[in-house]
Formats: sequence, C-alpha cells, structure tokens
Amino acid sequence: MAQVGGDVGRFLPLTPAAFHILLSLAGGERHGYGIMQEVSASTEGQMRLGPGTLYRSIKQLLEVGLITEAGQRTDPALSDERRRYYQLTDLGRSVARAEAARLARLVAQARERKLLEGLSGETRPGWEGL
Amino acid sequence: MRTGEHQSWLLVVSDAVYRSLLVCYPKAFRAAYGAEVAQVFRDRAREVYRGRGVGGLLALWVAALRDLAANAAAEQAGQERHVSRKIVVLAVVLMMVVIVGEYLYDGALEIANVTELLVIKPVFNLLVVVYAYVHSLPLALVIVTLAFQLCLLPMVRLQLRATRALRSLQPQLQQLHEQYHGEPQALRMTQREVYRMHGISSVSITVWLLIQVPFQYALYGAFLTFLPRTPISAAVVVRNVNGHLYAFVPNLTTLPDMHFLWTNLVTPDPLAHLAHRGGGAYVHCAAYRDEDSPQACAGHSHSVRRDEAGHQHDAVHRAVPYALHLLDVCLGPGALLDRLDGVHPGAVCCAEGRRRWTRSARCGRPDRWRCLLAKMGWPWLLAGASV
Repeated sequence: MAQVGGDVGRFLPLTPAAFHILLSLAGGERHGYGIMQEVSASTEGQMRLGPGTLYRSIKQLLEVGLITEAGQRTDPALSDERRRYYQLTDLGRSVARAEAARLARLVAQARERKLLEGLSGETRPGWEGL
Repeated sequence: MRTGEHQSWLLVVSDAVYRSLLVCYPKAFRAAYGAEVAQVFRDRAREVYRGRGVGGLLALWVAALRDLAANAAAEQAGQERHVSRKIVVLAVVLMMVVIVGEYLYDGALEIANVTELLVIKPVFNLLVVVYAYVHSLPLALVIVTLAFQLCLLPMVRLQLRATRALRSLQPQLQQLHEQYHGEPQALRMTQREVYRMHGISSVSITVWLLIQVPFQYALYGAFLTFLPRTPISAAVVVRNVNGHLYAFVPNLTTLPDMHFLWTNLVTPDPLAHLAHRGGGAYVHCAAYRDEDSPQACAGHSHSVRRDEAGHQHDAVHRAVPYALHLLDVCLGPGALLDRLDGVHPGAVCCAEGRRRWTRSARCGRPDRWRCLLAKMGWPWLLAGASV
C-alpha cells in the first residue's frame, strides 16, 4: 500500500477527471485525444471527458506538476497534424498510486458492507451521457 | 492535410463554429490550450460522424455546449479581473446584433434614440410576441419577467454560493490576517489566491443589479406606450404600439385587456404592490440569512472579531433590498405606483427582524434589535398597504 505522506496527501482526493487522466497516462505518454479515447475505452464509454473538462484538468495537473509535456509530434493513427503529448511525473505517479489506494480502501469497505453484491457496473453518466 | 478521407461540409462548419465559441474561455486559457481543445473536438466530431452520422454529431454538440458552458464559466470565475471586460464585450456584441437586425428589418438606421433602439424596442417586441401567443398582456408581462429572471438565476446562485463559501472560509482568512500582520500587500495577494482556489469571484451583486436596470427601464417604457399618461383614444394607442414593432411581429388590432386575476393594470393595486415589493424584499433577506452558519452564533455570543470583508459582505447584502427599491422608484414601473412605497422598507424591517429573531433563538440569547425592527416594520407595512 502506498505511503500517503504530507506531500502526496495534499493532492487527495483527486477529481474523477484528474484521476482518469493520470490513470490513462500511467500506460504511457498520450496526446489529449488519446487520453479521451483511453478514458472512454477503459470505462466502456461511461466516462467521457469533454474537451473543456479535459484541458482544464490538464492545465491544473501541469500547474501542480503531476504531469509534464512530452514534446510535439504526429500520431500515425490519426491525421498528420502535430499533437502535444503529456506524460506522468514521478510525483504524479505516486499521487495516482495514493489515490488508487484510497479508492481501494473505500471499495474494500463497500464490499465488506455488501454493497457490491449483484451489481452490474453502474457508474455516473459521462460527458455525452450515453 | 487530411488522410484522404471524405471531408463533409458539415464537419467543416461544425469545427469552425466550435473554434469561434472558444472565445468564451479566458484569453490566457485560449492562448495555451485553445488549439488543442479545438483539435480534440475535431477528432471526436470526425469519429462520431463516421460512426453515427448526423444524429451522433448533434448529440456531440449538445454535450460539447454543456461542457463548454460549465468549463468556460469555471475558468472565467478563476479569472475575476477579466469578467467585467467580458461582459462589456458581450454587451457590445449584443448591441451590434440588435443594430444589424434593426437595419435588416427596417432598411434604415436611426441613431437618434440609442436607448430606444437597443433596450426598449427588443423587450417591447418580445412582450408583444408573447402577447400574441397568450392573448393577455399582464400574463405576457409575467412570462417575460419570469424568463428574464430565470436567465439571471445562475448568476444569483453563483453569488449565493460565493457568499456561503466566504462564510465558511472566515477562520482561514482570520488566520491569514494574523500571519501577515503588517504586510497588507502580501495579505491581499494571499487572500486573492484563497478566493481563487475556492472559486469565489469578486464580481459583486451590483453586476446582477445593473443588468436588471435596462430591462426594468424597457418594461417601464413598454408600459407607458400601452398606458399613456394623457388620455388618448384606443386607436391612437394601437397605432403607437404598432409603430414600435419589428416587421416580423404581428400588429395589434385592438387594445389589449389589462385585467389579470383580480387586478387591473390601469389602476394601482395595493395588494399586488404589497406582494411584489414585500415578497421580493422578504425572499432576498431570507436567501442571505446566516442563522445556519456556526460563526454567526459564535460571533454573536462571544463577540469574536470576524473578518472585515465578511462584515462588509453582510452589510452589502442587507443594503441590497434598499438599493433595489431606490432603482425601482427611479427607473422601473414602480414609479407608477410610488404612492405605496412605505410597504417596501416595512417588509425589509419585518424580514430582518425575523432573521435576527431566529438567530437569537438558536443562540439562546435575546437580541435587542429584533423587537425594535419587528415593531417598526409591521405598522409601516400595514400603513403602506392601506394607502
């Protein structure tokens, strides 16, 4: 379990958008649209970040140093426009880990109190409210 | 540029419109991320259009507008200094739209009476359009006013939330005061940072008030057209009214009925006036009540020094009903009914008395102001209502 020290602890709890962004960047550097696709795919379309929410969160994460820019280049899977890539910092990685641990503890509690029985994976509606 | 894919004109237009909407964001945000936000939207629009066609694109737009409104507002709230400039820009754009619209419909541009052109005429025409649907002028008036207030509701809610947040921040601000004793500039900067972090904007309720003024003025103007002070025939009134309408608004043939429920717009009605003034003042005082805040009680019984800004804030909110009343008398339809103005201060006194009464009841301490205010308020209210 991650050490929730003073440095990391002051970022918690993260907003859902921020945590999803950190989570998707934990799998490697991505550009904005890549983050959006990854978040939507990993939640089976239930969490869709709007462009505004996405970049406002990115801006805040950049400001506090949880992510950094990783240069500009084109994405062969999309058009030949140049895109700015983002990556996790070490601090960002430990914050994401601490947040995951915090959530895991909550889920464990929920399971203990039998809240997860017979659940069909329902979460809050996402950006496009599918 | 594109990867050889069919480029629908719909996507091109949609991209262009979205890019122009990014103007809602603060300049700094746009400069840093505007291009990327637009790029992400473009990618998403392309994907949705390919998968689900026009319907998918429409759904995306609904979501995108909601996303834009929420995030632009939040981003603007953190940029308090730019808000007033944005409002000015918005006002100018609105003015341009009205002027161009006027020019397109009437074919001639008259700058002679700018207020008439920009404020009175649009509201007046809106009123007549609503009247054409509901066939009752008072009802149309109610609908237009309600719609306008509804548009302002988000701002009022923002203001209320800021007030509550400010209250809950009092201990923290107090601590800052002690920490930065003798360094006013550092204190101000830290305070601003705290406000920004909690999304408290310094745009005060005065902005909300000022937006209402032209609208009230316009309704008053509309009233004077329908109910001229000098007695003239109904045919002349109808002709005057029709002369103020845009080309696309259906003209009147007869004078509208002024009766609504039990009241009549032609003669002053104490009961309606009481409901309007008293109700408004009461709702306002009730909305800003602070009896549910622990600091209010603590400050009361132990006379803990509260933050100066908090005091000013409270004072402003207590003064607002009076300011509203003044504006109302000077500019609004209230001028028609100013014989009955005693009602308003009376209602404010009652509401204030009740507020203090509930607060002192919670704290278990009597409040010497409560009796005075409550005693002063009621006769005033009754005297006003009976005139």
